[in-house]
Amino acid sequence: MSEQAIECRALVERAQQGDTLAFSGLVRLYHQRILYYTLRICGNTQVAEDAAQETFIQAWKHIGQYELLAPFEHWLFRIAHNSTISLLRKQREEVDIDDMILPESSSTPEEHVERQDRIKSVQTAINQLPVMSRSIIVMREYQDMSYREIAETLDIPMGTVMSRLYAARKALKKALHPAMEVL
Amino acid sequence: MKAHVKELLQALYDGELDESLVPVVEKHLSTCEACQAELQEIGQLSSLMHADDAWLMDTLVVTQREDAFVNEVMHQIHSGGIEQRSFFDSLLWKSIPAGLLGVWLFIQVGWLVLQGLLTMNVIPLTSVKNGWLNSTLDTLRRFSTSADANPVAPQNWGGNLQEMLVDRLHIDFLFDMLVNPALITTLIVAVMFTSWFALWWLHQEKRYKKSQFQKNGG
Repeated sequence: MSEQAIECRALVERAQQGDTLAFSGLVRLYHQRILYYTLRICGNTQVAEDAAQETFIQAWKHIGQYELLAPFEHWLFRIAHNSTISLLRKQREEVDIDDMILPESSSTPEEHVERQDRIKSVQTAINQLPVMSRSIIVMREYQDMSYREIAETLDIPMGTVMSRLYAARKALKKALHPAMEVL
Repeated sequence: MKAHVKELLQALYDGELDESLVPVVEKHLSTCEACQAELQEIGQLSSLMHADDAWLMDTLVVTQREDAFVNEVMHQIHSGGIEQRSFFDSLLWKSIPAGLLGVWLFIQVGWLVLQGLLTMNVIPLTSVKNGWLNSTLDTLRRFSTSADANPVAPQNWGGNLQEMLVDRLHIDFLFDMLVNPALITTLIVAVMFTSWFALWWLHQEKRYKKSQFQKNGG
């Protein structure tokens, strides 16, 4: 078991006893991955932050029901998936892909604009996918999760993961074909 | 090229292909240009998706946001009085009384309907009770008449008991009182509901004490 896993387990056990300090440690440990996941699903920083916050609030409420046998991050990603879907449904999926106000980097203004355009085109293509496919492609590409881990997290069969992933990649290739050629 | 073949290519790219299939797919790849192009496209797509990954992560997520995010979450938990939920807050736990009531009603109505049918003689009374009655009487007859098997038993004890049991009124009364599912269900449901309420009450007490302890800065 890795050092992080041991630390996580200890924090989870304390959080299950109602220790808020331990829970804040868990938030610190996982907020980056969860925020990045929700951002890639929504494409809007404000909605992504709301979804990530909701994820941790729900995790706090239900941490007593979490069983230590399963990896904590899988459980957390499942909550993140449900929270994001719920938030998107409330907004009827009319979430604008924002320009992700990025700070000027050391690159030239042209490169900066080019980078922003590329990020936006990738995000637009992701947002056109059904929510479940979005989650699967984001978990695979950005969270580096295996098919089995995705299946367990989303509680769907492995075959569904494979077929949805294939369909998602096919749709993304179609949408991003010009950008792929430039790259 | 069929979709399931492409799924194999995808699994190969993701490192998820079954080891036994890897040589087969690789051999096919060496001769099939369409599959080579497909595999290359998967790689290109992945590269495009990750092109600005690290930069985006660094600039958008990490910088100066960690503390603000953690503080906001913890503030919401504290100020909103958000408590941890347990099994006692789950829908399953809350639906137990409704389930008990449903079972109780079902048995009561079923028993009433059966009684009605028996009264109207739609179902002959004997067909319901005779099986139980005959087997019980046979057992008692065997027990009470076998003096050798039980020398302590008085010789006439069995006979008196038989006479009593043969009396149909006594049998019906005994049957209705002891085997009446409506009565048994009512008792079981009452015990289960009382237990459910007691557990819920204890949980509420415990939660209240905990919240008081936290309020007092414990």
